[in-house]
Amino acid sequence: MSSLFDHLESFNDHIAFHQFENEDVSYSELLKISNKISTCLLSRETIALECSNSKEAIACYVACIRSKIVPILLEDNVEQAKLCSYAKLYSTRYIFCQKENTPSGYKKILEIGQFSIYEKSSLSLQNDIHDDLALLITTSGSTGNPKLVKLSYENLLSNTQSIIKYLAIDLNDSPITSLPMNYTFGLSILNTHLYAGSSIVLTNASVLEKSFWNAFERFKPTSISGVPYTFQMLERLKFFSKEISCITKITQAGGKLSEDLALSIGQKCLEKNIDFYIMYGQSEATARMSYLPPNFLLSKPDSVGIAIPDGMFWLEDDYGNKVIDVNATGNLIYSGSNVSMGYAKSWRDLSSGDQNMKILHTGDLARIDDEGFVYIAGRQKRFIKIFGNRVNLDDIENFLSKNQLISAAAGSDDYLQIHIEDNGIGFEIADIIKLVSRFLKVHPSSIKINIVSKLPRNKSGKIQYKELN
Amino acid sequence: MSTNLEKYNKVFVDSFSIGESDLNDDLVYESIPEWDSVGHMGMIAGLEDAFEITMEMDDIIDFESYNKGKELLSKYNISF
Repeated sequence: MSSLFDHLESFNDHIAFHQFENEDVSYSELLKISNKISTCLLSRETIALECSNSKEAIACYVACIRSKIVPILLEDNVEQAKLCSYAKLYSTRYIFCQKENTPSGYKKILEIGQFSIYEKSSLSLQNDIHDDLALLITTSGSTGNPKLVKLSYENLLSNTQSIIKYLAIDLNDSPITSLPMNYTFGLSILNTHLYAGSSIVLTNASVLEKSFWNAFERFKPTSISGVPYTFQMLERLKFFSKEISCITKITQAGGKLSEDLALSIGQKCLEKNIDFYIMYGQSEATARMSYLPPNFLLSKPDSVGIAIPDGMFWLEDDYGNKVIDVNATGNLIYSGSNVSMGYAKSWRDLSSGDQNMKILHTGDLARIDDEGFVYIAGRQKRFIKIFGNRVNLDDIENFLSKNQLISAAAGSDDYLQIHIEDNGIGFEIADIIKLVSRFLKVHPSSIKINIVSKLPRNKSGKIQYKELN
Repeated sequence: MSTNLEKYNKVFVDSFSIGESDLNDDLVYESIPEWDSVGHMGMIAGLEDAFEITMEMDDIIDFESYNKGKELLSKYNISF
């Protein structure tokens, strides 16, 4: 099977990246940097990769996929301690990061722009890495949870081809990178557009920054993507009353867009002849599982749409029996070649093959209408999404217990509610909010603290979340 | 009746959970964790409510510091 980026040579002098502050980069230049990186690295080894929307970081990612090196995709400006803890846990031979970030126990082997590649000074036994394993991506925003999703070469190729099909992406598309590539949605935008030979407008800036709009105005991208919060900001900025005739496609994922906002954006996109796609997915399914065709947006604004090409949904009850009644709620199950190989918690888990057999229990509760459209009704799993990033509620409780606080974390998307047992010692609510907000890297306004005398528990001591309000 | 400066300062103090003493030349976008994109939108909403104005996109984006904000608000006939 051919890999994701084996054909990039054919795009030759076509522009791969537009950057406001730097010169354009053609596909052949991208491959030149990528090949330079490849020659320094051994295949079937792991590399911790700090992901910025820069030509160097993307070239390193492309090198990894083409030369079968397994990257762990970590956020831009990742703290050195976190970078090193992943490197240690996964026994990574290499690290790609900003120059000033020299990790201890590693020696520099290549400098590339403002980045360097380091190799472990004392090599232990060579990692045993499964042949199918292509990359590792984090499951939970920035809490540093060591659990990673294992994606195979087939996962990447299959999901990329499905997305290209339903979004009709080709060489003339030009997305602007409003999302980072360590985030599964951002990665899928990168994968699909490189695969199609498109020109990508690269920026690390958010839609609130001048440099984003400078790049937007100069390069006139044809598509923009975001999480629900991005669209709240774009609405606030009156994006749709701007001159945006270059835009032909808008995609949204990373959590549920409120029905009001979906309808309001849907209406404006209709007037401006823009295809607006609401989509649903998870890292565990590489990126995308469903999309709402734009012509259904106004009639089904609360749906996440139908399964992507080559994917399939069904519902099961808690005993694993299929739910057949139309519109009944059940556990949402997905099947497709984009379902990940499984999870890894350390280097020991990198040698095993596919454990999911293409079937993913999404952890979401849903109903499916008579036309096959899926409606998400809630979650079974203990996480919420804050500004598009998954936050594991157990991670928060564990973090607070390290700070001598007994807590129960709950809430809904973009709203974290933490119930804390009064420990008699006394603490400032504002201090706890600050602590949690820095731990999760989310704004304090999305965190609420509720002090209780005792958390509701059952006889075996398990917290009864349903009794919390 | 509070002055424009008092209203302006209160929005900053409330939006970013900071003290009056933090309001100075060094207070710029992303200089503190609280002034990220989420904090920015909250602060803009706070200013729009406090001064009963609707800010233009370019002004929301150009609003990159505590001082620059005062300059931008003069467009809306708010003087300090």
